[in-house]
Amino acid sequence: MRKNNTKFIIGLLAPAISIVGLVIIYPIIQAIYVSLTNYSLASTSVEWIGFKNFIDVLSNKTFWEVILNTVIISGSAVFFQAFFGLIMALLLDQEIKGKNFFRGLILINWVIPLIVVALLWMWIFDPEYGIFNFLLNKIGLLETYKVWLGRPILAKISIIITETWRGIPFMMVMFLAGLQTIPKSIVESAQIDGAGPLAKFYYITLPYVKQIGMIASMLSLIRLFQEFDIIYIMTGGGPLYSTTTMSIHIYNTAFNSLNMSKASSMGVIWLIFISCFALVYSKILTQQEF
Amino acid sequence: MLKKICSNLIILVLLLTLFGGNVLAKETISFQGWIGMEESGVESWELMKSSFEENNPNVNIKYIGVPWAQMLQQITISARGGNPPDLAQLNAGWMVQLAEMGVLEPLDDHLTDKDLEGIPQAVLDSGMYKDKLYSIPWAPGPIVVFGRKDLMEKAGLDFENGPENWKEFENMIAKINDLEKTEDGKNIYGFSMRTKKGSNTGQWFLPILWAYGGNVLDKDGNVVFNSPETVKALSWVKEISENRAIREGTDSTMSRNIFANGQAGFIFDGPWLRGIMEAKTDGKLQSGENFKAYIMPPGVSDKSKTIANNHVLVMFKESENKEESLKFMKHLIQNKNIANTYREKAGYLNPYEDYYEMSAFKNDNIFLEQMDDSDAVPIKVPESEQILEEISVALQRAILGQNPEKIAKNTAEKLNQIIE
Repeated sequence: MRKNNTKFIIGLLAPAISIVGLVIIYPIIQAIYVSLTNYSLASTSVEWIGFKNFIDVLSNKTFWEVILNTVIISGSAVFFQAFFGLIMALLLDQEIKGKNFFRGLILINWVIPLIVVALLWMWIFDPEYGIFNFLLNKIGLLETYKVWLGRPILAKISIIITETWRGIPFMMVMFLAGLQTIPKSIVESAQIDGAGPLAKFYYITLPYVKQIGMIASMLSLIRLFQEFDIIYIMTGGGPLYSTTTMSIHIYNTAFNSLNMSKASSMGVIWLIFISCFALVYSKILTQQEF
Repeated sequence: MLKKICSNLIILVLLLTLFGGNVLAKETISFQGWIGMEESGVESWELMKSSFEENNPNVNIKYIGVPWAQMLQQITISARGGNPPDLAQLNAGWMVQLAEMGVLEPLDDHLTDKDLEGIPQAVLDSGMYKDKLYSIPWAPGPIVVFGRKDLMEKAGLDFENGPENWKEFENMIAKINDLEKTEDGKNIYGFSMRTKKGSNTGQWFLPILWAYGGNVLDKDGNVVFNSPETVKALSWVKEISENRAIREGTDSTMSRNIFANGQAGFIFDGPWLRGIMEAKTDGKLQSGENFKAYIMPPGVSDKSKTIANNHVLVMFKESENKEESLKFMKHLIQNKNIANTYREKAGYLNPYEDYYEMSAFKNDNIFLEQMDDSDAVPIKVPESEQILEEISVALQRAILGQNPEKIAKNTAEKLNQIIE
């Protein structure tokens, strides 16, 4: 009976495992293999070169700059997404008129195609016709118009703002779901005990949404680590290398330089980095008391 | 009797199915390119395809549309995978990489001297790699200087004749830049230059580098970017950036918008700008009347030298229909009706000098003249895209005010690493 059960389970799992093996495991193994060769699209000969690609990549200054860019852009964007997402969720959790309409309205950011988001923000940041300079100038924060996408630090800030705007709805929805789980009885007893809004937020709301916030942040961070479209369209990774993230660097290496092996070695290093990060993050997540 | 007729008929049908297929079947030529993917090219492509199929009923043209931006990737991958089309439309510079991969068919033995007669030598040379002709020009696109009449006249400049040499061009840029603001308060830039990071920006910087006598590689492929000439070119870019005569982070579309909006006096662009400007301004900006093309001003060598964005045709070694493919190639380039339509509807030129007497080409002599001094493949190594991207980074460093000598030295080191 047990034997039959095992066969039955294997039979059920086989299609899923085969697909995962085909579309995830096989490409990873292939990427590891390619990273140990000198495979280039522009050349017909392929030779085994061991860890040379890894040594070249790790000793390249640009690679470390790219890693730092990825961490700064993704980390900052996730922080601001979570911050504003929580504020939005708290506001839309109140009994206000038309809250469903506003919830729907904010979700628009999330459903707009990435290419449209990029083009939209390119116009917003346009030095002469963009609304961003205009508003900052009107409220007195800016005397002369800035070329937001033309200077390294400003371009980085512009990308972070765009990514934050795009990611807020996701965070908001996640936080809203967390807020729905808070039992009304706890809130009411806190009110009876005389807790103020800040105390209620710190002692009741925050513990309830903390876990969901961390999970959402990790998902968002992983998505941002893979982000390509918005940055590539808005800045092409420039000025200089200031907004070149890992995805753009790997893409350029593979399809501009046609150096598939070096691009694969970067991919493998990045895979290890993200895996370590995810492991540490999930460890922290499971150790937390909620 | 009826039984016999029926059985004979069945046998005949079977025989025809088995052996007649090859006799009756059409030959198929696969053509990969972006011409049919662009709105302006659809009508011309339909004409090219249908007119050929009408005259060659045994041939069927199979079109594989790929957007321009993905073309190099797609064709490289399909060629590397052993599944290339018979023919493809390419940017001239991409040919080197495919020729180096050994997937292109040399055309020297397929084309006669008569076929190539009348094509400017510089345009033909861009199809040569390691002494073999791998591509033939389809739509040459020499890059020239365009100037706006309103801004030039306001700055007291001669719109009819334009800049005679590079020094004069620099002075003209400075004078237009002095106009400072448009009527609605927008900045006026002397020169609408491409400054966004990317290989395209790197390529567009080359005419400036050449005007100062500099270069990226010498004839033997050695990096010669670290030179006093490069330093001078970068210093000029640094200077005009400090004077706000150019704008940072500008790509091709933005640079054209700035020019169309009346915010820039000059722009580098190709023959297609005529149509683009008309479309952007609802016909208000007319070539010849409101803006004009000038020969790229000669620099220190007293000889005009520019880049070109030529579209070329290539044939793949694995093609099983070389003869018919070649016929189609010639049809695309040599058919006068097609050449006229392609110029009128899509804005593209033709490589044959004598075609410029036709109505569609009546205002194009300046481009024909520039063709002889243009180089569509200025960096003839497979790593050209990477090299040009690095040059765009060097340009950005100059725009951001870094030391030109240091930029030239560090960029040359990077270029050496890329080539190695």
